[in-house]
Amino acid sequence: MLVRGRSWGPAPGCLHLQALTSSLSSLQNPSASLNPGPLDPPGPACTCGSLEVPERQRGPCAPPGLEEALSALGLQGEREYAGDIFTEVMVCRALPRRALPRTVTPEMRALVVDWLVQVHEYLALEGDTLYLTVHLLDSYLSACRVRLRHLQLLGVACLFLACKMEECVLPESTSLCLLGAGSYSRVELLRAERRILSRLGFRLHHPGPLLCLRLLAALAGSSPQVLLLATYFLELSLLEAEAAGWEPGRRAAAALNLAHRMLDGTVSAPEPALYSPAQLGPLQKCMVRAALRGPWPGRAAVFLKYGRPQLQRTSLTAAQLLRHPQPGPP
Amino acid sequence: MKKFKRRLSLTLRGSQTIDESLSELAEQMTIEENSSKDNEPIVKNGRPPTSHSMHSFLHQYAGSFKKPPLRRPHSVIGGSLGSFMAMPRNGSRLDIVHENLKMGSDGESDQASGTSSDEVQSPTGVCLRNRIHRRISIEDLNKRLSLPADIRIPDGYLEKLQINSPPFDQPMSRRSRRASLSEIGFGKMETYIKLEKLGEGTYATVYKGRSKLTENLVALKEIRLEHEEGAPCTAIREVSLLKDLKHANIVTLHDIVHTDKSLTLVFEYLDKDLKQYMDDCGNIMSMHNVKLFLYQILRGLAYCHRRKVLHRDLKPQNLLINEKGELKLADFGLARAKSVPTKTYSNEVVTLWYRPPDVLLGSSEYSTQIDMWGVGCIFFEMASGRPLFPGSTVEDELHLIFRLLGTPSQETWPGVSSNDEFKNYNFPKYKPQPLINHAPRLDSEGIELISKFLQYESKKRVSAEEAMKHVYFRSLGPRIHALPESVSIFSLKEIQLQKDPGFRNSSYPETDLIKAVLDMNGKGV
Repeated sequence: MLVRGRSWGPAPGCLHLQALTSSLSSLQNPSASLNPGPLDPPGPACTCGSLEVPERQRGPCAPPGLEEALSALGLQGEREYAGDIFTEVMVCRALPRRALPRTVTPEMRALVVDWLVQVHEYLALEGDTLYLTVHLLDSYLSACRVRLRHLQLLGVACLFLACKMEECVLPESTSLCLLGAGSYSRVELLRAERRILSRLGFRLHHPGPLLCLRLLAALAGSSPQVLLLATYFLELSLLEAEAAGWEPGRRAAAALNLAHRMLDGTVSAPEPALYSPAQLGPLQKCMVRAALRGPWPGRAAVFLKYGRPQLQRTSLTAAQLLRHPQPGPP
Repeated sequence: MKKFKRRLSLTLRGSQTIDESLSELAEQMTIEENSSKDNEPIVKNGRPPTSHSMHSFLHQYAGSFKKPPLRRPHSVIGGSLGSFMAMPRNGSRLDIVHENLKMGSDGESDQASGTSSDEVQSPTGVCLRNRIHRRISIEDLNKRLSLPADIRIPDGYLEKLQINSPPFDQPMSRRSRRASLSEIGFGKMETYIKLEKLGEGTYATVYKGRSKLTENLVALKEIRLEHEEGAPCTAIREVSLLKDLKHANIVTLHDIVHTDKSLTLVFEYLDKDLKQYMDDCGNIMSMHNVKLFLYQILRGLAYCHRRKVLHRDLKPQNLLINEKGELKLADFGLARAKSVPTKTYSNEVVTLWYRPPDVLLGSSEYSTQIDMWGVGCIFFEMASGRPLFPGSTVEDELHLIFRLLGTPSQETWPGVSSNDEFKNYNFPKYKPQPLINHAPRLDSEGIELISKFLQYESKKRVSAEEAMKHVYFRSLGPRIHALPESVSIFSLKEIQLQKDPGFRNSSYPETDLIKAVLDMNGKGV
């Protein structure tokens, strides 16, 4: 086999489903919903309140505790630029809200993304690579038309490009062709890569929602369980065509907020509350719907991936918690 | 089936090609009919049986969107979505598909190509050609091609356009627009003339060139695409980063020409790099110019660092300078947007002479401070006329560093005593030497700043942003800090390049330099 596969060893910290759900109620981190940083109010020029959609340009300014959060992410060297980095990551624009090309339905898009999730997991690639892949796919679909029979080729070419941006070790083009079971050739893959590059004008750089999520979770002092559940919700949103129109920061905030509500039972959003509940509501509804759907054909990969013991059977826990919401602790 | 085919060919007798393709289609249909009669599954493309399960699953899925979910064999990853994609969900959908742009397998897009002459003449173009022409002016052309107003278009091109294109008061069809752009334009190698080779890197060759559109000099960085993995990731990263970086102290990327043989990046042309500059002035630079150059390095770098972009390969060869004295950071081939903080990079990034000691000792933690050590080394090199730590191996490099700055101990560099590589080298215990002895022309403020760059611990190194506010730069005046990003520091009247004491390049006589300075003064923003 030319392809390197992920070998799942037995995970040491593997929790059984029942154990996980019962232990979660005692996992309450009292500071989780409180402001983790110093409590002094933000400076006069600083409006850290909920963001209004039209004035996204100005963006959120650095909330208190940001430097500590960056240190938690291994970015302690970046204290000087903490505010700039936060602004750039959180303010990253979403794609313009545009329908898919006539030839591609949301179901077909979901099918391709689902397949990409499997390939991504099989090749053991970085998390950001997947988000960049889907971002490139959506960018291309929002700008250009594509023949239906080339949709899979487009998807894998986006993955190939995302790897070149994010990965240290690149998967070979031949192994990507192997995973497509001969439905496209290497020459076609390389030609598609060229096409994407020219159509997107080489604009491949995109911070993506995963870093947003890590930053927000570090700021809110979220527990690893909350972060894992939020990561699951965020990944589920990849399958939704409409998610392309959501800003990465808002997507991450919605996922984290939902995870906090489910595991901690807190009603209020974790700090910093950058978005209002009204802004997060539709996204969360979408994520909940996807989580309850389970291993629906053509959309099963994320559910199955997060159902593995190595990922603490997060998807099963989520479905159970959503069906039988546990009363939150006082 | 045969009867059907004959009827079709009778109705469509006119065209031979259509008839042929139809008969092919008919043959295909017969084959499929036969095989399905035998109740055998159709295996296209010799697909292995493993993927077949996904294939058949997709068939079922496509047929029944509303059916209850089927259990899906998750182990199967390989598989084609093609069969599902090709199934029309309603009659009209397939028809639409055929009109659409081709993706991937079959050739060029209709915007990017248009070099072959037979493709160029559209039916509309032909019929419009007989009408009365309005004279085409340069303004018309610029408007239509969305070119800058001051661009100079070759005369021959204009004449050609007069012949080939519809009159300007008519709306232009997509095809004729393509035809008008086919000769020269952005994204085409025909637009640029290669003049001379400037240098050769590991994966690219750089040529001096001229743009036929603007008559300006350009630098053409030609990246060969011989290998089988498409565009190299260094090029992809460099271009996608440069697309986001627009700053007076960062080299401008004008255009990209991407063919299947090579990828050419078209940059603005700058006369020389800092290395050549220092050679040309006999390694004795005016201390005022050292300050101006250092400030511009920091200004460009601070802009990158604010955007989470590390240059990672700072050296005099990558700092380009034009005759005005504007300095620009170039060669972002190793640069990297740090969107993924936890990732470790290979150790072999920064050129040895400018590589910080923590990286030399195997640190894989990359932050913006990785660039700041190199800035210190370059600062010293400009001020003293010789490289600070010209080591030939990693050990030699560390040895040179420690001999000047003192061998680190647990007190001067917490954590170093537990570093295995450091222990293995077993360096002698050197005492730190005063830097002023090695760069006597530097004033005390400059010495203070240089020692802030040359800190062993990366987090103690001064950031680019902070360094710009250092007292060393106070003599440049306060206005320099308030400049917009895209404006050169030489737009300020008080900022002027001085004549370097050792300047002895015959190709740039003194008068030219003075003239350049005078020109700049006239422009003063």
